[in-house]
Amino acid sequence: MAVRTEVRPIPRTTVTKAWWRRPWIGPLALVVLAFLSFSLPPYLALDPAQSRVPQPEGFPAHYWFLVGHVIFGSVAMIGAVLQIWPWLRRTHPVIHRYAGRAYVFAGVLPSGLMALTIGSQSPFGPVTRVSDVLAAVLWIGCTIAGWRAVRERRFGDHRKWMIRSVTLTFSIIVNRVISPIAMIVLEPQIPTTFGGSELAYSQSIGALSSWGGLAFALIVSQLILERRPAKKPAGAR
Amino acid sequence: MTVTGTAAPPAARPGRTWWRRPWIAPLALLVAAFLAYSVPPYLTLDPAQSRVPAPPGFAAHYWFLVGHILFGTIAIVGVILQVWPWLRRTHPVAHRRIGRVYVFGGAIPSALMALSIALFSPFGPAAGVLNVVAALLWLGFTIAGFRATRQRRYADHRRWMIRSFAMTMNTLLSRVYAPIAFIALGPHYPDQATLFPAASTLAGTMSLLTLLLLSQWWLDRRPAKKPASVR
Repeated sequence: MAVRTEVRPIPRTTVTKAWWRRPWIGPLALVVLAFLSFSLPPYLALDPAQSRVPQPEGFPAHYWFLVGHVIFGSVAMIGAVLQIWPWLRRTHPVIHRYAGRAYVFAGVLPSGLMALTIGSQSPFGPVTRVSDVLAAVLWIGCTIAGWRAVRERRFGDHRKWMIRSVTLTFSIIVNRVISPIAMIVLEPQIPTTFGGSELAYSQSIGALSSWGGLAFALIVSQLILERRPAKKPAGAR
Repeated sequence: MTVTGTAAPPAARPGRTWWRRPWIAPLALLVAAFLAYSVPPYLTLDPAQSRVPAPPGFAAHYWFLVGHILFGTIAIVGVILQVWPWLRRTHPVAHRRIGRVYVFGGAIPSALMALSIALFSPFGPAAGVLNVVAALLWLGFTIAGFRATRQRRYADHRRWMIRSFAMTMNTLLSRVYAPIAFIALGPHYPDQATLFPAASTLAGTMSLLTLLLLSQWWLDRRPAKKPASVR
């Protein structure tokens, strides 16, 4: 197969993009910062009393897995923002490579493995456990697939798997947006819908947010991949 | 774009893996068993035989449920015919007619009724939201597939209709998972009132996620190499 080494001219895109396709990296970075400043601080104290997830019985190391998951997850999330920033990717390919290694090996893989452990022991009920374990498996799987693709110079596949990996990285934010809304809507219904059962109520919140975050990531990543205007020359696929 | 006449079907390779050999008969059997289990109580039109308790304040619930099941039966029988490769290859006219029945006499009315009964789900809000999302996806995939074929975008038609097919199978698969969920969760819940919502939400979640992942995996399979013109 012949390999073209000369730099190809970047095809001119249309000048007037729809408003929602104009720079989105700023707002996204702000959302990520807001999420991290809300989620990270309690765990930096390394004080189990400040944990937001109750420790399941018979799993004393739970807190340390949780802290590891949160810290590696923060690396993954900051890495993800840098990696999908078009300007950085275009002008600093070397940084894209270094930040990518950090994203995969110091972010997603350790954080995903810890998510697998704490997710399978989640105190928020069986649906949360199943969704969390599935989400962790998919996160690890898509990330490894994306990393393998780029090592094998299959750049079209790299883009595809990494879009999936990154939407899964951000899915936890969607999860944390769904849960307070679900709490506000469902809390007044504890005595009626849930027959007074706090357990049924908290498990419903866990189910809605964990399942919702995962479904959101699956659907949104596929929508991004299938957008019509993103017509590529056949060689890039 | 040129439209070619009848493309010669690729000769069946003798060395196909076993799971790619005709799957339509086992699938049709599974659907028949599911229908034989699910439909009869509703054919009597007797609300006492309903398997879903009527939520208070929604008097017409039973009739929406019956409509959902009858249109859903048309959809699931139709979709089996539609995905049957032999019928599609040899009887394109039948594919077109059955397709119209599947979309307008099956999936769309059944999904709309699923939407209304899911909003009042007696199995708790998590199961309700889950079923609303499933119904919206079913509706959306089916309409997208119909529009694609009307506009002669056949590759898009295939993609959306595979997804629509997956959503048609959602109820069946959740009924397959349900006994597993009940057996797995049974010992951990104090009473039926808390076990029912938990187990049905678990089965529904697993079913919907399985089908979304499976349909996308099917669409992304490597061996299905197509000439670039059909993509």
